Amino acid sequence: MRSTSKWLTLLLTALLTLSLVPLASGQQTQQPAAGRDQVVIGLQQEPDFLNPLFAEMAASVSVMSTIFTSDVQRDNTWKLFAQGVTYLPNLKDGTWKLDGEKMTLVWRVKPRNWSDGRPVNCGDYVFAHNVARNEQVPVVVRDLTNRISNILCTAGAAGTAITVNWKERYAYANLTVTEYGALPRHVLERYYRANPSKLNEAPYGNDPAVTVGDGAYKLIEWRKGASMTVESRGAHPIFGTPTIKRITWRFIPDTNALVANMLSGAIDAISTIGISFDQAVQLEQQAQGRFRVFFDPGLIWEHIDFNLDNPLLADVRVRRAIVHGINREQMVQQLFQGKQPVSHTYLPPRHPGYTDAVQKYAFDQARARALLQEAGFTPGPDGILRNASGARLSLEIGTTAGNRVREQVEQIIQQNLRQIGIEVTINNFPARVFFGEITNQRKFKALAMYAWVLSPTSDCDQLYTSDGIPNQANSWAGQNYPGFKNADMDKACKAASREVDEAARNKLLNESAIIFARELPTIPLYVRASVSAAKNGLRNFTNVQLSGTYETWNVHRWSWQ
Amino acid sequence: MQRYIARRILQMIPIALGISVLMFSLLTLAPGDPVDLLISSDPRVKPEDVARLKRIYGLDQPIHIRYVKWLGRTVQGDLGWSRTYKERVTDLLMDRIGNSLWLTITAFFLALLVAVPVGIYSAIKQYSFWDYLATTFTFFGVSIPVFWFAIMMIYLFAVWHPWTVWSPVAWLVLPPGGISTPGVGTGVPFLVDRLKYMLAPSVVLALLSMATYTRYTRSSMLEVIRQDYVRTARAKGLAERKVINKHALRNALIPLVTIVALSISGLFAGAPVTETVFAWPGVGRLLVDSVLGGDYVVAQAVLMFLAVLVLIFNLVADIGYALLDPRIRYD
Repeated sequence: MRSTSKWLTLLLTALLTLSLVPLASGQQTQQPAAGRDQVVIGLQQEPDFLNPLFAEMAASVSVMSTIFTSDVQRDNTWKLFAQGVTYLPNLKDGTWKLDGEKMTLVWRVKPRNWSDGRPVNCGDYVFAHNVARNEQVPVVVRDLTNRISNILCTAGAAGTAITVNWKERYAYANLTVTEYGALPRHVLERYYRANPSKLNEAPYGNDPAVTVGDGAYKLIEWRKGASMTVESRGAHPIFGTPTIKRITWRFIPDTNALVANMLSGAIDAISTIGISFDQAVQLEQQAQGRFRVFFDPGLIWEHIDFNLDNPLLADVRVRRAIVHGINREQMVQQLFQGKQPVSHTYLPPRHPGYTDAVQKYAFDQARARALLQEAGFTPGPDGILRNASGARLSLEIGTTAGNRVREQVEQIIQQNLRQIGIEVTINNFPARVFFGEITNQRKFKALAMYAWVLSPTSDCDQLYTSDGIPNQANSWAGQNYPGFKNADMDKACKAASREVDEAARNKLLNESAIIFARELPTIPLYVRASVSAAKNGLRNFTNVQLSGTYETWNVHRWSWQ
Repeated sequence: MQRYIARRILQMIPIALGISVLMFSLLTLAPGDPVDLLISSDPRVKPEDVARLKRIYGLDQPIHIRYVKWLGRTVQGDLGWSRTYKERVTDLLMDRIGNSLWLTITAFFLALLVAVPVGIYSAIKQYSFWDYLATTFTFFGVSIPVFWFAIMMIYLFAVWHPWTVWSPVAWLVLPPGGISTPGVGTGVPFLVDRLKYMLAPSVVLALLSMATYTRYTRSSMLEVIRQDYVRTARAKGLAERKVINKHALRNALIPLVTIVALSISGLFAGAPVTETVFAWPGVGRLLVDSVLGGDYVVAQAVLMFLAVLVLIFNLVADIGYALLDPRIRYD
């Protein structure tokens, strides 16, 4: 029996040692995972489709950047540049003309071919636009398509000159020729004619044999649930000849396994659609100089909406007191080592419409107490504040259950606000319920914490305008979940969304940011960093995560040292 | 027996229909319709887009009409079209079942190969060192969380692998996940590559079953070797090996056969956690992803398929039990 115990002790010790020993031993090589002419990227999501008309996932957009040419693209500094077109239309040289409420933009497409050798022409743009317009085609978004009245091929369908006539003014009309750009008419038309409502069931975008694109690479293999590979098309008139011949994405849904893949050297990079912030921090600690982990401020904005229909939150002094009462600076230091900065308004600092000249609310409990007193709240026998009618200042906060970081933030807020006499109760929901009912139908009682994924063209129209308040009558459309109504905000946001002059638009957005920070319909928390990782030897890999632009924006310039 | 089987098959029809109604209703009535969610996740989506998409996908019709249409298509073998995977669900399901079977069958045989001899030895050498070791092993097997063990296997065999400094075993490095090396080709290289990718997830998957089967075999064997007929066999002067193999083992394995038969339907269900951690595109991962992604057409197909399998293999287990144990008779 004694010898048995000894054996068992030895076994247990061995198992424990196994789990505690530092895992990265530095034995792994920095060499490319699959050869010097290949790059293997770890992706947490699998693309749903590679047909721009129907692709809905960020992972699809990331991969499509390699097999399609964008009309206009952004670089890693978020600066716009013409990729598939020869210039960006502008008001000064007359390529963007205003005619009352209508507009006309004149474009010229750079000559290039589809990967099957057929030329890309104006007819391909017209075809894609007409398909998107068709009511029977299950395209999800038709926002720009519905704003365009017609497209003219001024040099014929086989030419590259395109004139787009718009029904209404739209601020960002020079970011793309049409909503879905060019699609190979010669491949897709037969599926479209056969059954428009089943166009999404056509093999284009799914089967490498028929998925032709106009980008630097072509799709050669898609093993569903496992990996996808694109191969260089050789010399391309826009991208030149890429150094990396093949790029493979491996789909690894478990983020811990994704980290392990990077540590083992089985993948060369982790996409921005990959690991969470805290995993990136851990990965950085284990990198030991073998790879770089990137942290860059992004466009995902974490915040807490007030439900302004709640009488306790109707007074702006109460809302300001709550923000003064939360130590957001300490929160981001403790939870994110300061790598995800506190936000003060709804636009992230790198957004072109951002201004720093907004009212800020530093952690100041004395100021918070004074504001609450001004608003008529006095402490009750249990230490919780009460208003003149005796209602306790007790607020319910909710978020997506299981999101560890948000749950930690809730606890910090609960403790902070308790110190100024506000009771916070936590009631979280599964994400599907939270976004399917609680936020979009404004069923949260007081506070709802979540994030908005913004883009460099995001503005406040629908987000904080009174016509964006979801209700039964408008089928719960609109994103103004706090229920914020402010005439000045409506004016600034509506004008910004229609202003074609960038400087004037940014001024209007500045104005909206100032109104937002003054009225506080929402508690701004922090801006999430976009994170990714790449082996040291992989040159020109950049960390970008915008809607429409990911690390693959310059894939043709990647190479191994 | 034939009447019994016919009756059971007839009973399966209303049960399967009941399951389908319940499953269809639960998935359809769950909050957060995937098309409705589009409007809150993307400001560019307008109410008219949602109405148009619902019309195209038939989601604007009442639930009972949708159910009848779905049932009609399913009976004809058309499981629908996946909105997430942009693929016919039948093709998707067949592909994923194939992948899952690679893994689950390997794990199943691995588990049986270890569990049966260990369980027998553990029982006949009760309270020995090896019995304690086996019991401890089964205790670990049923207690260790699968996701933790899977991550540890990845770290050990793909990231850390300290033995690689010793050249004779330097080859023992496993891929940290996935199903095959892109562009590996076909034939023997494909098979070798697939085995390399399968090893770690199979061991992880086998561990739990191994522990369970070992426990069943051990307890069943312990019960049998105390029976009078085993004592009689020994009294007759039979060799111990013959007593165990011929008299005890055959009877001890009866309950295990039932457990094994019931587990077969589980082989087709894949293993959600193991498949997710090892990025193995199997049925389990498909089910989890489709539920999380709101792709109910896929979720309904997978659940219905698994429900029918469970019904079939329950019947197989009952029949098998009757065939193996003469004491069992069905009228």
